[in-house]
Amino acid sequence: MGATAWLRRWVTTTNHKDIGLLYLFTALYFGMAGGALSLLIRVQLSVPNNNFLSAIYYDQAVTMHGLIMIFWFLSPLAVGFFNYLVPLQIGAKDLAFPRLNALSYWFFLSGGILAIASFFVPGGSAASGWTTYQPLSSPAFQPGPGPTLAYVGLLLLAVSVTLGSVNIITSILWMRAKGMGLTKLPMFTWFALFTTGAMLYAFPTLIAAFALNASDRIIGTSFFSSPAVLSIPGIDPSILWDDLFWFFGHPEVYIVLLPAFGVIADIIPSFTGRPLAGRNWILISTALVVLPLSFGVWMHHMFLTGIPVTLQDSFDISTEAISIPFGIIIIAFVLSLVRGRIQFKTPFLFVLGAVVLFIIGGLMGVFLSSPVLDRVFNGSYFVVSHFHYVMVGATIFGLFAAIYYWLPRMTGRMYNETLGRVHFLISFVGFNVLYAPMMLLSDMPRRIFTYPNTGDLGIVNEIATIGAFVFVLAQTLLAYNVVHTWFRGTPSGPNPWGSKDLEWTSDAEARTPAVSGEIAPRGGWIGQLSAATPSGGAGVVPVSAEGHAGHASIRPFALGVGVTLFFLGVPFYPSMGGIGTMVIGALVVFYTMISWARDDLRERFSVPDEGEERFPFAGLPKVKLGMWVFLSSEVILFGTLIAAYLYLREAVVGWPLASSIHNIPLGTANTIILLSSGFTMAMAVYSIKKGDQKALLLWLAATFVLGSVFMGIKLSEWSDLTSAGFSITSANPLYQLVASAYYFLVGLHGAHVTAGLIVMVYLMKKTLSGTYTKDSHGAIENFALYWAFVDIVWCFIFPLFYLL
Amino acid sequence: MKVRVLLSVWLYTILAVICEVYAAESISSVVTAASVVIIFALSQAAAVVLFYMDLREEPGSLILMVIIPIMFLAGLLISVVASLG
Repeated sequence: MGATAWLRRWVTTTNHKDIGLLYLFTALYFGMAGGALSLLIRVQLSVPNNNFLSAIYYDQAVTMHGLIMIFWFLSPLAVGFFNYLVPLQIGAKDLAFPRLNALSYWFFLSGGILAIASFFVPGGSAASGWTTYQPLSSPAFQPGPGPTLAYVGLLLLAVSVTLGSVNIITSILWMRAKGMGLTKLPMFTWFALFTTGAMLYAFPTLIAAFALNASDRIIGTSFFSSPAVLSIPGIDPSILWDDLFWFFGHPEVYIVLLPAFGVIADIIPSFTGRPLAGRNWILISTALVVLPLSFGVWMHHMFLTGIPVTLQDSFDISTEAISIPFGIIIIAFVLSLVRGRIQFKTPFLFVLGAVVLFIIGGLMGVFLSSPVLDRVFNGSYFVVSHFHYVMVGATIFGLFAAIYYWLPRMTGRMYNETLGRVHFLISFVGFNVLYAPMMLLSDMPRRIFTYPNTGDLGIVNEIATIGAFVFVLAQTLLAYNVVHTWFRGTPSGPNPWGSKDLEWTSDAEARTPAVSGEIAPRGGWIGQLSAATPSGGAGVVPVSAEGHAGHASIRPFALGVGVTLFFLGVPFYPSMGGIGTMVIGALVVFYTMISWARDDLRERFSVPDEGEERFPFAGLPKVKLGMWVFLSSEVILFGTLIAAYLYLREAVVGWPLASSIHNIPLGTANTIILLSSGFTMAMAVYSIKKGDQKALLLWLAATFVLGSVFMGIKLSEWSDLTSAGFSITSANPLYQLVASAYYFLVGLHGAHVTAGLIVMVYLMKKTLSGTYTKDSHGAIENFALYWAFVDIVWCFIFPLFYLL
Repeated sequence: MKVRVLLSVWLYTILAVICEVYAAESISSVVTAASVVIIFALSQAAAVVLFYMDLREEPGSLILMVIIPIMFLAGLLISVVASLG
């Protein structure tokens, strides 16, 4: 394959395995970048009073190390495995929305490039810690476009994660092969579902928080830290930031951790020769306790912010409660080893390491759930040790196990076992030498670039630094082993571990010469399916040859390029260079969207619907399910912004009456217009269900007109308001805050309406060409869901901003 | 679904808007006015979800999928406001 063909293949691919590999290798690259930053941090801290890094460079290194490791390494590494393995494990040819999958990857890559590029931009990179606390992340403390670039990169990453979650959830719920009921799903796929479910509800809050922050930094709104907002008595927006960030941030811990648990649950049976003990208990504990509680413990990160004692108590209880299901899960893992014929191969060693490190980190976490003990440990290296044991130790060791375990599936070749074991041993020793000493540093504050030469601080830090170098350098063994296996490994055979899961029996795509011929279809199904159907998989539809022909598209990549350019320009707004870059990016996005729509109109890209096991969504079309999943994330996005508005409003005494700002009759009339457009859209669906194409076109046109009138009135209203002095630069600081909230939320809603209007043009064009019929009108129904959601959001915005 | 159902939902949502405006302007207690207005807003949202989005005809699992984020959101709203002290 020539270089051009090679490049074209990777740039246009929408194949889940390709995207999975892209995620895996990109995540490992970002992991190296984050690891390099960690070495800089440890060198700086190796001796007291060191000046290897200045304070600001140290802060940047710490911040970007955290952001890169969490957002561009740990989670994406898991997402890479989700991409590669979930379709194989459920017996699907691909994920539900292949182009959306590719788009998620390019957004992820774009976000990472922008974040790392921020180091080379005036102002330097973000330096306020991965929590980006306010007001530290405000322009007052971090001026310049550099930090803004890092934050918009993170925003792009969050969008990527949300899109990816919609895709994977829909795939698991809708694309399963016949016979693959929910009770038979492999554990890794179950945990992929849990993880992406948590992502779906957590990341919109991150999007909301960073969009508000970016708005403060770029446009000059006053949510968190402008001199105006800080001059208003009674308001403390830093608490608001804590609320928003940690509502996302604590579930993020489980988002990072749960994929490793899925890996562990899949790997243990392969190396013990026994089924997983307490499989149902693990699933029930995770689904019914871990996931709901993960969204109900976040305020334990805020014990020292002055929140009411009753809140502290309730979050103390919920935090301690969440350790119970984890106890059940760990006991199930340990019981699975009892009386097993254990083979101490590399993947199993890493699994064992992950479990041990999780137990250590988890026990440390129980101390931190207590408000009293938290006063001692908060902000110290004890906390650093705790979350590295949990988030890094358990997760990384689990995901390294996944690499060794599934490498033969990906390459058809076996890795070097001796090298793998040495890698485990050095990593385990290095990790503990790095983080165990930090348990002793409960009196050393974190995020400070140096420390005095008192007590044992010097020697403990020196030992930790040695551990860091051992741990990081050990990863070169992994890199060598993977590369060597890929090109020169010995053939592994189709199922080297004797696994019972489906991915080892489905056919392998002849993707690379290394794979070709190594793994052949063996017919039928084994494992959980054959256990249920001892006759050899009767009633199960085997996956046929990979159906990826014509399954390529340049559009996701092009859209990624356009969005990257746009976001690259954003931090430099309003300079000419910034605006120019944004305009070029917007043009690329616009052109690509048109081309994407044209591809669909000409049916250049089609993915056959498949999957016969759809319980409990049997009657629902695929895209409709995807739309509902997406809208549930939108509920959180708008809900978070409304929560932020309510916080600000409650905090400020003397919030102006709506009637003193807005034209109530005009706002009421406009609300009636938008609600009427909801009715006309419902009539459009009703018409096409009856097979009346002419009526469909008329109702669509009516909806378009009403939506356009709504936007027109909205713009004229904005024009009148700004003329009257109601703007984010009002002379009165309070009005700056009120205007910021109003324009941001109403503007975001307006952006949704505008996007809907654009889609409506496309739908009308397709209606004119007679595409939609009584039996085939899914796009109309799906769009109607979106439009109704836009109506619902306005049902809350109108009273909150215009009436109360 | 019959046209008259859709028409009724439309009329109800508009009527609810008018009631909201009336309540906001005529009820002097801010808390009472806010409660009445929010109840109307919730009822509008419910009507749109059930009839325009046809949720009442969808499987229970989908209804659950809609309820879960709303529950999380309720927790966020309550806790955020409560964190003011």
